[in-house]
Amino acid sequence: MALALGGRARRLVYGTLVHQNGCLHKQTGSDRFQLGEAKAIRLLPRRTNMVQELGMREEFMQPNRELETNYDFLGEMRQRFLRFKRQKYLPEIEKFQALAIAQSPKVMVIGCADSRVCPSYVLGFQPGEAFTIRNVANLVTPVQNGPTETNSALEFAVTTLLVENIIVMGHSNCGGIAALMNHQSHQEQHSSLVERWVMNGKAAKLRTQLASSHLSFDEQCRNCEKESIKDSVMNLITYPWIRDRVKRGEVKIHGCYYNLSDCSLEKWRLSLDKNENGFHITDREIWS
Amino acid sequence: MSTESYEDAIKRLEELLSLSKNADLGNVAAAKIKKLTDELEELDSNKLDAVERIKSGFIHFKTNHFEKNPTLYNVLAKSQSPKFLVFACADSRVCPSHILNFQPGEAFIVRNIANMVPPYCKTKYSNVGAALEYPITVLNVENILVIGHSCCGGIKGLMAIEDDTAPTKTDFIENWIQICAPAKNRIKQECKELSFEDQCTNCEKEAVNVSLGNLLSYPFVRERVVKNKLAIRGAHYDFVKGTFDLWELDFKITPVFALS
Repeated sequence: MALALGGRARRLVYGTLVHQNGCLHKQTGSDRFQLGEAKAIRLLPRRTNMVQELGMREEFMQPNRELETNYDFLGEMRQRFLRFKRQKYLPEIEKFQALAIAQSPKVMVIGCADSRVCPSYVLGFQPGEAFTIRNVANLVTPVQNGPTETNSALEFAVTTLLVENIIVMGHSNCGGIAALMNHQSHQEQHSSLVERWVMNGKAAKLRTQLASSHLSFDEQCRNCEKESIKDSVMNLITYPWIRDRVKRGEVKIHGCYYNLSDCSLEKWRLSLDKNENGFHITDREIWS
Repeated sequence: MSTESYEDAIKRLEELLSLSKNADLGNVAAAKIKKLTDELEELDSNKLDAVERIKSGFIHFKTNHFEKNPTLYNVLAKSQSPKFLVFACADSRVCPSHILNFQPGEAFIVRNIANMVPPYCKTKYSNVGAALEYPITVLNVENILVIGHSCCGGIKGLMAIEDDTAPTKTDFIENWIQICAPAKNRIKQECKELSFEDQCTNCEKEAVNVSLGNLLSYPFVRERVVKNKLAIRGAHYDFVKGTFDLWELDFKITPVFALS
């Protein structure tokens, strides 16, 4: 069942049909919203006569959502959405109506899925400003590794939306990078999904270990996080439709490293070498 | 600003105004304005925009969030314990932090084209696998939410694919969006009489359902759903109408009925 959470006024007091325990029950109450259009998925077969023949089993009659006895998920989502609607959507309704017709973000961000580093917060992007991909450890794989969710999004952003800037944003205390640094190569066959994915950052790990094996594990992780951003940025250039646009000055590539502990942002830009064959890092700044 | 300089400024403006009544000076002024505008247009406005934009965005975050909640951010610097795992589209208009007001530390958010969750595959989709495995098995999130949205470019591209077997026109995009081809095929069959736009809206919701089903192909997800430690929900955010629909995936394994 779907509950439409839009609209300012409460919906009508209808008896609504609620699917519970394989049966449809009727529920009334002034705090029920009208049913929406989407269908619920039912992977359980309907109650058959078999159950009636075998008798009503106690355990089968228990409500199956014990998870929610003390937690009102729907109520919380409703509050959250209405707050957004009241404080952001309605006050800027013209902007949202224009955005509804088309988006034209100037920036694409590749960030980590970590709950603490949403680019909308840390870099202050408002709706419509940044096309944002978030994956584990903000990794970009090179073109020769084949299709991933990240490069399909890159293709869309660069060739269709025509973004002018690509920002790869990494951060400190990244669980993915820690898993990369912890991973022992002889455990290849039993690698978890996380380890399989973060192994794409192998080169950064090797460079870090060569340069800073004398440092503590935490400090090595900090270095690896930064090396990994550099690798991801260089992997962006392996895509011909990105490389061409960077050479023509149509797309600019930036790297960012957000330090959670002291709230500082280190940023730099990728520039074309004078001979137009290679790239190097410029405009490095730390904001804190 | 001191009152002295204010009065000076007013005086100078008055002089300018009296002078501008002179036609010659008016032309000079117009020419100067045109020169200035040309110069401004030549400036590398892209670089200024992006870097200046993120700088002001970051400073705003630091002043209004980080420095105002030192306890929260101290805790977050060491570890995170989000309650939600959210799959949302990479679309610039649908950031879950805005729509559902997630504060830092509340939701582990994965964003990709058309908020799709592919079926479990260690080799082909280790990225999404990692994005599921980490929050569920390590951070122990209790709620997964897959949020679709109106006017989704990815779904529109999916609906535009007539023939699933034809060679792809793009390098990577079609390869990704065909994950929800079952949704497209179903909508094309069941909603033939609807307009393309309405079909797309239905496909946006059906694609969320396909993703919800795919979530159950991950063993660590299924295991926890069956034990009631994890809830799976789908949602559709319509920014044209300003509405948010929410629904749940109900999945359980009943006790065994012995037939003998």
